[in-house]
Amino acid sequence: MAEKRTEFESLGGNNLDGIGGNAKKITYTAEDGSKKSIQIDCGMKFSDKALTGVDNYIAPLECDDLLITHAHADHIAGIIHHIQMNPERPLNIYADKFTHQFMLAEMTKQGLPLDNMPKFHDVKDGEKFMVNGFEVEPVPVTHSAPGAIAFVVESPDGTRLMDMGDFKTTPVELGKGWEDARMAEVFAKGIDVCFCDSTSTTSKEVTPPYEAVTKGFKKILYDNPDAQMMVGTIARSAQQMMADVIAVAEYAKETGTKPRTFILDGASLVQVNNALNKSDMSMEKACYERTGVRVKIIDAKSPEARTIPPQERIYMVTGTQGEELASMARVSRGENRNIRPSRTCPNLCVNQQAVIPSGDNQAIVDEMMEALRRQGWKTMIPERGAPFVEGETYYVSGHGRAGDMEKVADIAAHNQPAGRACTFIGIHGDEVQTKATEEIFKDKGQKVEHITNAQKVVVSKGEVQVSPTIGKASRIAVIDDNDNFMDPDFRYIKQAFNPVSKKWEDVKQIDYEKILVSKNDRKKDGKGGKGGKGHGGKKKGNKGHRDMSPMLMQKMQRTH
Amino acid sequence: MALLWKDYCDIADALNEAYPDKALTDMKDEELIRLVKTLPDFDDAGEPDETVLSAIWNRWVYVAYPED
Repeated sequence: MAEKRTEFESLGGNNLDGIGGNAKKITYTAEDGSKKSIQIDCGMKFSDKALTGVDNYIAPLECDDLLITHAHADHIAGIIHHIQMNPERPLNIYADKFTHQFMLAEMTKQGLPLDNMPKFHDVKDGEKFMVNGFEVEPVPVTHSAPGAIAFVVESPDGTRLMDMGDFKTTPVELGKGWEDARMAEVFAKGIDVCFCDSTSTTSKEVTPPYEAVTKGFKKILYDNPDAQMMVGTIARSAQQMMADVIAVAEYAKETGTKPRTFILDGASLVQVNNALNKSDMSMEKACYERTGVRVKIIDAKSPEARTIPPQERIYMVTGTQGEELASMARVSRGENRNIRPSRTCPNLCVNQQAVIPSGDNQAIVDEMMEALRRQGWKTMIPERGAPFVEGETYYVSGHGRAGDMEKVADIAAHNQPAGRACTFIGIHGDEVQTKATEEIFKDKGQKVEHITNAQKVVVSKGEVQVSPTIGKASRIAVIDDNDNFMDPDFRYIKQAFNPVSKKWEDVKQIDYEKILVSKNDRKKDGKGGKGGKGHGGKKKGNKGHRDMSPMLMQKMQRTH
Repeated sequence: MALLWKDYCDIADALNEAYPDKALTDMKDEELIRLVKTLPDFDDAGEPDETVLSAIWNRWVYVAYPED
């Protein structure tokens, strides 16, 4: 007879080489030895193709029942590739309606036959559902992507695990987001292990709310009342765009002027807006309900766009990192037929995303902004790492900092049932980031553990233990010989992390059984162990999935 | 007969050619069905479901904004 147990395994995301490719598997083993599993997320990790020859990496997909936390590429972009590799696979995807609509748009855009589409199940706050023997409770959280969800998964033996997804603890502008009271309610029912987003936990304080963006953007409107505006944004991070929409409404109300119209230039922006409308998260409607002001959002293809006076336009465009073919770069080269500088009023370009420190990004963005200035655009771009200034800052991250984690720890401490401790584990980060998360919870008196990819957290009889053995950490390299992302003719090569060479290698080159050694063995060999340098990861710091070349960033935007 | 990927691309291309200035933002399914039915060589095989309409619309967006 087997011992009943619930296991959590990081299939991807707790990488030694930076953020991306998030995937987690939860398995329940019954007394008769039978197992049931579900997976959370199946993302992509972005590669520097110039160095590796690999377009991107995708996480494994080990279950047919998949919970999706939100619609960012590092959580969802692996799925379509797995379907392309195995079109007949019966996949069930459980996600917020916006995430569902966005994924559907991307999958159809990339040519996935409708017969091979996964079956989507829309989930809602407070509506528990059963999947493969697990009871799942979705809990809204705040992230830059709308519809972000934390999942509480209760296994048949009553073990309760919570994957927080990507989150911060301030309110959202669109849809449902983080609420202290809701999270208190969740912890009050008891959580055995809580997995926390570690992306920004090396930074102090709480990540500022989107309300701060509204204030900063409104100041830009006050400073440039007569300018035609162009704003660079990341489409799927629509909470920030919503903050801009509210700023326009509030400015119009305060000044008694006609609200500006948002003109979306780019397929991804139009698709995100459509997905929001189909998910009962219309930005126009939400803005009106909150401010009483009707702000119009139209696409640049619309004839109406040309009838709007320049000083009443805000073009929302893609290409914040200077991606060659995206809207903003084409404007800078005078090649965008939808957007040109006005000759009758000032022109202002606000790039609402700091330069991502990777490759030649800085030089490329500098060149683009300079080209825009030569055309007569005044330009603004936030400085990476600049301190938050109330009323001035017009870009905020969607990931919680140390202060957000402290808030989670406090909520757990005040609400967790007596005698049922929660163990906190950092995920979604490299070793520096995940350990920083765990230190925060430890300092708050909470229990913590640490895992890397392919390492299991085992909960049995209420005891939480981390398996000493690192399993077969694997990922799949996606290689497109034609360098054409819309061409589905990819090659897929399974790779595994070789703990001896400290490199990802093609599976056929690796003899797993010879190289798989327990952490304890590695310690004995003087090659490091839990928490030691033996994990071999580069300490890249807090760069995240945005740390990629412009061309790859462009691909990311084109795919997810 | 099920529509193939090429069919969606053909429909999207035809829509873009026939309606180059048509606003895509927040287009209702009923409007999309009406526009598809106006295309030459349209073969009415009944009302398409939401997923089929989504496929056509999403491909059309990509055709309308080929650079993105």
